Amino acid sequence: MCRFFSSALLVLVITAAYCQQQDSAVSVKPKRIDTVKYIPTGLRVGTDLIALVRSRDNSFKGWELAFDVDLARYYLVVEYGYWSTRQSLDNFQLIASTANPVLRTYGVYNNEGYYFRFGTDINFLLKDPEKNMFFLGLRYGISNFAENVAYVNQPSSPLFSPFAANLANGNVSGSWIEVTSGLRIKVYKALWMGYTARLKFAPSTSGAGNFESYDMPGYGIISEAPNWGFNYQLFWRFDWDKLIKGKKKRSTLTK
Amino acid sequence: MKVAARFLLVLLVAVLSTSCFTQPDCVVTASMEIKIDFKQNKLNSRSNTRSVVDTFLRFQSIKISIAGKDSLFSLDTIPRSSLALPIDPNQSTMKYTFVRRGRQASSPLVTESITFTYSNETRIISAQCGAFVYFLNLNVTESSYGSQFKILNDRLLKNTTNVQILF
Repeated sequence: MCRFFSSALLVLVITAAYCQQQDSAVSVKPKRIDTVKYIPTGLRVGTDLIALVRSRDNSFKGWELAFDVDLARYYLVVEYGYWSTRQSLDNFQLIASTANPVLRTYGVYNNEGYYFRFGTDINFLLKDPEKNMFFLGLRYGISNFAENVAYVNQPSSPLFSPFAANLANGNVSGSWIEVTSGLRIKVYKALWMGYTARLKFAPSTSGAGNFESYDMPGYGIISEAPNWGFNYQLFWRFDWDKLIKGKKKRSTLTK
Repeated sequence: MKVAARFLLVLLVAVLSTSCFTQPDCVVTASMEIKIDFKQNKLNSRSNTRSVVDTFLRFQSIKISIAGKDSLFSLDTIPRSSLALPIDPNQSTMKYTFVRRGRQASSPLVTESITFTYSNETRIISAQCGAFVYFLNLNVTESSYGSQFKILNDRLLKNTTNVQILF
């Protein structure tokens, strides 16, 4: 099933990229680029809609802000976010048998923290006049968070009372690396939409003294490496030229 | 129209991509039992060396108890090559007393004991599987078996032998 969707995704991405190239060829004659100018033309500010939608659920609260600046085909990217989860650890739904005995447990896990990612995207639709993007990128992520777990394990022998623990890791810091890919499409004037798919790997944490860290804000479940992430994003692009022209206009009017 | 098409394209890709997220398997290896294997120890008279032999030891009876609790097991004439001794997860020390009659019906009753210490750590497997206490650093602090035992694995895990007692 996953393979089918991956193939469909690949076809869509290629089609989207191809369509962008066709559009630009038909509608606007691309300007000949003689020299590559590494001068930023705008700042794009965006947010992740998936995090906002997920925040309606009690088990997750989060938001993310993304900023990118263009330098020819390269985009410098900074992302900053907040992530708080509350996860039930009950396993009473698992089916146990004599061949597969399951220790019964119930409890709850909470974490809360901020994360920061920075890196670069490379745009493969350089000739697109609207600066639409199909990109590949690299990120380095840093997270600082606190977490706690409270749980009860039922012992295998009825002679003993259940084991209960309430543990906290107060100040955990961690890092990871991401390979990203996605689309940024101009929808209307300065409004942009896009997605970023993330392949996260090499997670590491420090400062977790009481139990092994479980869920790192910005990364996810630490024991799952590589881990996947996905953002469906909405951006607003601030054009430097327009900003500068607007300032000049205002200054001439005041004179 | 163009705006709507672009919006739909991005949305479709987003929905398709999320379908690849799968739940991990629930594999829990945590155990609250010390698994003991009984092995026979034979002396080779020629080389004067002892070797471990895989064989069932048939005790006429064996009664295992722990301090302050009723007996854990009371077994009669059942061949036993191993035992799984439950531990108290809220303690860090357990003393087991074995009262057994040897291989013959006329054998006298023998009382033996062994005391284990252990520590624990918490691991969260997944939200679906839950959080578990894992016991580790298993050690024998007192025993009536002298040097006739061996710790094979100091972590209490499913399907793992922790201690070998030689007879």
